[in-house]
Amino acid sequence: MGLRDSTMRSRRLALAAAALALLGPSAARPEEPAASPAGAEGALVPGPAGEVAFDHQVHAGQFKMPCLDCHVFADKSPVAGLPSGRKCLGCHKFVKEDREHPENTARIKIMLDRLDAGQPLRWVRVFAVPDFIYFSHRVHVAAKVDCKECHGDVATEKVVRQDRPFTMGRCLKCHEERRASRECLACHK
Amino acid sequence: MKVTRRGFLGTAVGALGTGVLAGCTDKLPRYVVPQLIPADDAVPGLARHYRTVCRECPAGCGVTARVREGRAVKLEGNPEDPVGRGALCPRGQAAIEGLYASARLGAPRAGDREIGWEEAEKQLAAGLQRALDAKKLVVVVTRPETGQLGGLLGAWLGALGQSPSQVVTFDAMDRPWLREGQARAFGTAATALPDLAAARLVLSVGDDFLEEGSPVEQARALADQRAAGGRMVYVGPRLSLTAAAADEWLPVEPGTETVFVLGLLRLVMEKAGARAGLAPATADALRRRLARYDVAAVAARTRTDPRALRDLASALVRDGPSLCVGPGRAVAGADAATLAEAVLALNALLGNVGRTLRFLAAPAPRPSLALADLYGRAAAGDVGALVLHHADPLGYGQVHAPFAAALAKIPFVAAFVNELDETARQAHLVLADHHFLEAWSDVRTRPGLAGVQQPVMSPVRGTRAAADELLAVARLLGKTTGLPDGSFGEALRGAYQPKEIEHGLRVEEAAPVVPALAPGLLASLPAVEPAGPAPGLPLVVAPSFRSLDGRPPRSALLQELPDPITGFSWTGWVELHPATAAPLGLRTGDVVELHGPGGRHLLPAFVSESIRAGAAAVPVGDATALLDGRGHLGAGARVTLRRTGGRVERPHPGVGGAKGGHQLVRTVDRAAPSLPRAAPLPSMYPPVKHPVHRWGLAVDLDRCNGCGACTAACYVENNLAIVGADQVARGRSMSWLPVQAEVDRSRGTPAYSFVPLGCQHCTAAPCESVCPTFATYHTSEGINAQVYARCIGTRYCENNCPYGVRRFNFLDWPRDPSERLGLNPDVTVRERGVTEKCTLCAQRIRGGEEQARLDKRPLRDGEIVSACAASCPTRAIVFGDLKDPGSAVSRLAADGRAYQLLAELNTQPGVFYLARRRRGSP
Repeated sequence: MGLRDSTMRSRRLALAAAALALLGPSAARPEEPAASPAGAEGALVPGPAGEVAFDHQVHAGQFKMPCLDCHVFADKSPVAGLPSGRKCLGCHKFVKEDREHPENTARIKIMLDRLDAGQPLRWVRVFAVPDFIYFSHRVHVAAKVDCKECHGDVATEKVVRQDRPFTMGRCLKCHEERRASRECLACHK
Repeated sequence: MKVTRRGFLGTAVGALGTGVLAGCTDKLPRYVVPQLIPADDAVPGLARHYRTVCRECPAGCGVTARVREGRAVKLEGNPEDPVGRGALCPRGQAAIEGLYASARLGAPRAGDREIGWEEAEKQLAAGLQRALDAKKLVVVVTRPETGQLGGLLGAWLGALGQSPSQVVTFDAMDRPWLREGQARAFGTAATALPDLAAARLVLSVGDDFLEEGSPVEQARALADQRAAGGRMVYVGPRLSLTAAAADEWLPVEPGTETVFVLGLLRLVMEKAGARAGLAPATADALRRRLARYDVAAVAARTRTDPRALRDLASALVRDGPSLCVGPGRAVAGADAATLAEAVLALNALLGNVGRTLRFLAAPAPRPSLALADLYGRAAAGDVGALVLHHADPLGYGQVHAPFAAALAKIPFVAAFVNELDETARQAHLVLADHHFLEAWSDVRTRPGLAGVQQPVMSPVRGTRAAADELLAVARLLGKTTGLPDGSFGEALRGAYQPKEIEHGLRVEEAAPVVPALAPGLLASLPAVEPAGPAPGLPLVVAPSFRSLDGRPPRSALLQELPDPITGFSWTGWVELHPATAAPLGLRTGDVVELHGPGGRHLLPAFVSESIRAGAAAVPVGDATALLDGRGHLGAGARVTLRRTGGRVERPHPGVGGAKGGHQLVRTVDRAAPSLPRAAPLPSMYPPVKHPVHRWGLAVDLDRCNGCGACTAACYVENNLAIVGADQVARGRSMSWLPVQAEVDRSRGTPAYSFVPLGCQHCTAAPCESVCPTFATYHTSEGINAQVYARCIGTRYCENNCPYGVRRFNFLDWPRDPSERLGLNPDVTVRERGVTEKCTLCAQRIRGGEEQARLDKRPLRDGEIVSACAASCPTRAIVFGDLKDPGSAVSRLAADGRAYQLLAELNTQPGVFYLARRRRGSP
């Protein structure tokens, strides 16, 4: 186990504690909800500083590249996928410098050197759902859910960050609005 | 202010502070590494399927491997394969476990240390060169390799300047008496193919064909035969799974099976000899030789009712086409070849040859060496080097004792293995071979059929293909004449069409042969008179899925699965009749010390009428500890028993099970196979609607033979934990679909039925109403769902389930990192403190529905199949949509034999059982 345990166990602990609180004489009366239960929302994940600081603002913003150009599996698979080294080289064997953003030229060089050496790139994961959750990109793409709705407007982000929580409440809110499935088993695996 | 339950929980959690939740995200994988160059049309997140061949036993069933992100996670059958026909046995299901086993070697070894492959090749070349320089023999001992690898081994020896015939095929579970008997009876080496499904009456002479041989194929055939109204009689000392599937079990005196069949043969000769079309000389010779086996003498010797013998003979003659199979391991004593002859003679007299017992012309066997010749050559000091290829003669206790002596005489021994075994421990060089799911090969189990084995994934560890290592060493030695230039895989790919590789098999025409009885058959026959008294009890060697290669079992999964008849898991047993056990004061669970000709062994007793009095049965993996070094894994040995005073608590058979000892199996008369219809009971619950689908199962108890393939498939598909012997004994087995045996003792010999008992997916489920956190609920598609993230482990549900199918995780069950690679990524691994149970393979339903929705089409019946249904060799389990009146499961649920378990509780299950058919009124 391991990878996803902390999440699952802590949620269950919380539920257990809540159930205990229900039974106990001094059960907290929830007339005044805590002002901002930031903890309940889950800690927001900061953006990455990967090996090669990838600039979504240039790719998705300035050049208006569609998300599916690089995340090629988003409409085919539960997993959106990250671009392969070959995919990056498809453009970058021609684009070796960025005159407008000189700081990017050095980054392109790092990437090209790595790929030339036959080493894959290592990306920092920004968005994730817990391991006990089934999330299918292709279903959401087919249902015309805009990528922005979960991932934010990455076209404006130099470094992508998770700017909204991935909580069950958020999932359910959207599922309700769109009359999508509200079965537990639709997502819980 | 209105307080909703959810709002309250959210607030309560908030009030608990952030400490509890601080660790929420930091343990997720930090990095994602996409491939540099993606594999062609590989899509992460979706499964790919590759056809290959199962090599867990020589049956060679075609399989389909499901591969996720480059890792095989599940095997199913290959529906195009005529052997397995899309199903798979428990052993095949456990292959995934072997692939990722932590005991697998990842590098070559010399002595106690790991070495590099270059060093290993050098050592192998040097060892071989020394043998060649000394003008000594190089011998290869291999597991059965019926395909091109077998040919390559010979060619490799040829290239070294050796005779290609120096290949010994080692198969401890071989049944040489069948070949010998056939050679004597028919004078042919053609491949015999019994067709159980075409026979109206099957007679098995101790042949446990549901446990060994080609069990998946035979299970299906027997179930079809039974469904078509056929009958089966089993003659043998022990009520095996095969005997339990028979309509009648005739437990003749152990060791007298040959006399019994000869008596039967004489009666059949009298009744049908005239129309059998025998040559007059053959008929005369037979009559003369059988003269002394008259009914009275045979019945007295075999201690059977003479009427049973006469009835059986009449039925065989009357209810053609019939089929006689055997002898199996359980009855194969010293005269097993004679018994095989007699069984074939029965078939010939009954006109079965060419009808239910077909023969196909077999290609000439490759020249090879017998084990005895190897022993002789080694003893004389003629063998300079030995290469073992997945052969472990020392793993069978004393059974192949002369092999140890031979091994000691050979200066250089190299062994290709997956895991270090007893023989490899004695080798100078151990070479880590690929698992069969990582390597190219092929198998030819019968004329006209080749199974193509292709790698379904890149190797888990730093292993190399044995064939390629042999080729590399030949190149090092500069001896490559007649060997392929490239790798063995390339050579193999050249021999098959891409389509054949894709489908995993090649089917060709095979020429049928109709052999006639040889006049000299049954030349030496046993006496009818009993032999003198001998000490001890005859030992019955029982084939078992626990150890299909005959060694003590290695697979944790196969050991954890309870034996279907005895209910034991994680241990062997000695099966004794109450009349045999009583004088020794033995009860089930008492530890017995057995003394056999080859050694002693401690085993718990299983006291039951499922064995004839005056015999002791031991599963084959344990029998190896008792047998002596004649290389014979069969009947004929005798054992003495001694009570030790120790006790083993037998895990409850099936674990869990319906509470209050309710009888689950219902039977109907074969003549009128339908149950009385019960009127719907009133319910206090509002009616439940299933708007689109209502998933469910139908389980035909008449087809289920208790093999446990469904249980094993469920373990692999749903990442079930293997908890080990101690925890199983505490009743903590996590099996979602145990197969429960129910015994009807009302008619003399016990009649076994088997019930695969998983969650019933009740519409009015008692578990749901008692869950304080709504962790379990009824979905709109009829699944009784368990949401692990909500479960807080009260176990109220388990307490309230009348079927006893819910499992609680008392502990976290450790998994080796390499074993984790084999987990199904579509199913959560549950942790300590949550309850789990059958989900009807919700992940498969979800995946199937998603695909249909994206394709904008309705689901087809049979598109989604639960793991248990997919694996079932007899197709006893059918999964589908009960709301679709045309679905296979709906048709079965509407059958006259269909019923629901404990229907009187009005739980309205989504699982239907079809009553067992028996002759006469239930």
